[in-house]
Amino acid sequence: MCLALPGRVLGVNGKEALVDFDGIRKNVNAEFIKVRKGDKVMVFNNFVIERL
Amino acid sequence: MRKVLDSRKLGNFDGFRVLPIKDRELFLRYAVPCGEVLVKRGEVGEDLLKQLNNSVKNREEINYPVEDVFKVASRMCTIIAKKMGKNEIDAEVIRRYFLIEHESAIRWRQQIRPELKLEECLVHPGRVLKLGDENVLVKTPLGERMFRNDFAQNLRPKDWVSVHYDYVAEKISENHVNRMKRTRL
Repeated sequence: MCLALPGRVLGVNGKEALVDFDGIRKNVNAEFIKVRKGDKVMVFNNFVIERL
Repeated sequence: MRKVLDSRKLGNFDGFRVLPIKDRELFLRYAVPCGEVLVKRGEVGEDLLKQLNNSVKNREEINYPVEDVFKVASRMCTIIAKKMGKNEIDAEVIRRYFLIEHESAIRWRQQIRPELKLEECLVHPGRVLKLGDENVLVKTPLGERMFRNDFAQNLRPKDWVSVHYDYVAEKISENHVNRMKRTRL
């Protein structure tokens, strides 16, 4: 099942965003959806696919 | 317990435009099998899923906005299409997602949520061993077992197929099989 995971953006560096997933932090690709610090996002396969 | 949202929870707040799905039948061959999970979660009606299943099975025209049902897959296909310089989700994009990139997506998710099931989510290559009336015995990397044959037509023993959950999605080429194997090394 293609379930995306919710996270919160901690910071943005160019096309990359640092996202917190309930304590697990990952740098993800934010090339296709613009995000800002504090945004809630959905991430799948290391891509931000939705800004909530 | 951490919260997991699925495609049905995604809106369109961010203005992201999902590209049109050109080959809706092929998209549904891969998406419908895991739609049963959405039914179990109460997020998609069983009747709708059956309707989509029958549309593919009977080669009927598909007018339903499948992007609204399988939003994560359609958004990922949109990103892949854009990376490939395309303005629609065609068969090449759909196969790139479900046969190639879907594997890394599921494994990426497991790094963060290891409790989520892995193996049944993956699309595997397999070889047809025996044909039944409605089912097919397929040898996959996980072993031999029966799969529903709602979608693929004119299968023969030794054909290569892709399998997803309990379904044979489609007959695939040996080139596809080799590409799938390379991504899993």
